[in-house]
Amino acid sequence: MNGPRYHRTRPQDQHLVAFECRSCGWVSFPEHVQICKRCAETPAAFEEVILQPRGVVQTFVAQEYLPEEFEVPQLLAIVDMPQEAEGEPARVYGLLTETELADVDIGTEVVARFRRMFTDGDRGVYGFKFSRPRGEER
Amino acid sequence: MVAIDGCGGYVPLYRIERETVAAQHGETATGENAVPFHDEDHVTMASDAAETALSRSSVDRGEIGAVYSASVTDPYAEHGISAPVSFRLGLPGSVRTGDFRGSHRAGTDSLSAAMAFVADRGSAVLMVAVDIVPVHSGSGDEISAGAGAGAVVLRPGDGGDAVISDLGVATTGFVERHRTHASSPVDGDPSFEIEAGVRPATASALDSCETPRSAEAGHAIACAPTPRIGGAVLDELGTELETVSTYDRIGKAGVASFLLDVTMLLEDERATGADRTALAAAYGAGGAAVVSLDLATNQESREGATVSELLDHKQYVTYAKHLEYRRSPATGVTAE
Repeated sequence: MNGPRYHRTRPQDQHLVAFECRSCGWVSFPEHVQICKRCAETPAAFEEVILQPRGVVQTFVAQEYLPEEFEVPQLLAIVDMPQEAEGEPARVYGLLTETELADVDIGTEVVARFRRMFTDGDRGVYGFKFSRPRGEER
Repeated sequence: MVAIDGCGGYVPLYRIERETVAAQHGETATGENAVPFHDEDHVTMASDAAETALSRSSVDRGEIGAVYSASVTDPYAEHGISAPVSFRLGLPGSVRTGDFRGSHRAGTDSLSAAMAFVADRGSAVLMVAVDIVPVHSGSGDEISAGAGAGAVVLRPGDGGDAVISDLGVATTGFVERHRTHASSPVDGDPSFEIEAGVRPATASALDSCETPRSAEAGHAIACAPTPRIGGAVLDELGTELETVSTYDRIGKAGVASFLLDVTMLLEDERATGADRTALAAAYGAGGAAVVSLDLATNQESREGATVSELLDHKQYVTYAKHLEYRRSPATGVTAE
């Protein structure tokens, strides 16, 4: 059980809290980094922002070979998620859930779904996955 | 006076036809069951329903004073649902929490406590009900095991979606049907339970309502461990009432069916504007309760998917997938 690790990232994992560089506006999610990956400001000053629970697929992959307990194909996407307020979107990676390969393409609009990411022993660890809006699945 | 100001439901995307399950065991059945995906559990489903309810409510999240959950299938002895849901929704750290268990009356028990909190503190309460009925491959209850979640926001005053005009309770201590964690229920003698438990308790709860039942009552909801018991409850409420139920489309959803059915009624009522009152009853181990609702006439549109839309937006899975998706250590479901 790794309580401290999951506790540190609860704002990101459950509230879509991201971190906006005050120098250049780049948004980091979910990592809370010390150096801005775009402008290299060191140490960088980041402001907490909230992402909207939706985004647009920029690219994706389908993982076909996984351990037996995982359902394949497992879809993983890079998604641009806009902020609740003004500012640049966050470019994030995430798993797709309840989504067939045929339902996804570059430009597909997805929503963020609060799901159990995995279990640590018997305890669920929660976060967000992506899927097509309900009713728009194939 | 306590009003329901915001309601929401959640039904999993996947379904399995009961005929598919029954055929595995040489039986037949009608209807279909909701099948939660492997990454769904009580916390995620309750959070979805609650998010919808809050998005529709005029109550600000910062005004929520308590979160109460109701479930008969929570797999954890220690974990809770209301506190994780409260954190997920960004509610104040000062909220009181309560997780109601142990009976299909858990929904009305938590409703009663919520009403008392609203009246005493003048503060709003978020109430969620969520269940994932355990599946044991080959057992009789597998044929109708479903899942779902519902949520309502209660506040002082009138207006909103509905006003709770009365709540009658009959605590009898009568137990016939029962179940231990993650196991199949022990039904006992259903006929005996209906005659000695269901009918007297429901009638007594109805009689204990302080407000005489309105002659305009048009709808009835019954939350009960089995359809047969639910039918007896509806019988006691009055056979002339129109029944509201998600059972045929999601299966047994435990206590969640209480708030799911209430939400579906409130959503549809706003759409149709028909009949203005309803009786929602719950029977479970220990007794029964009856809630009288005066429905609103406001026809404003709602955010988020309605229960009817969630029921319509579905995908069917095979029997193998149904077992695979339900094999989850966190939900305590066994699907051997």
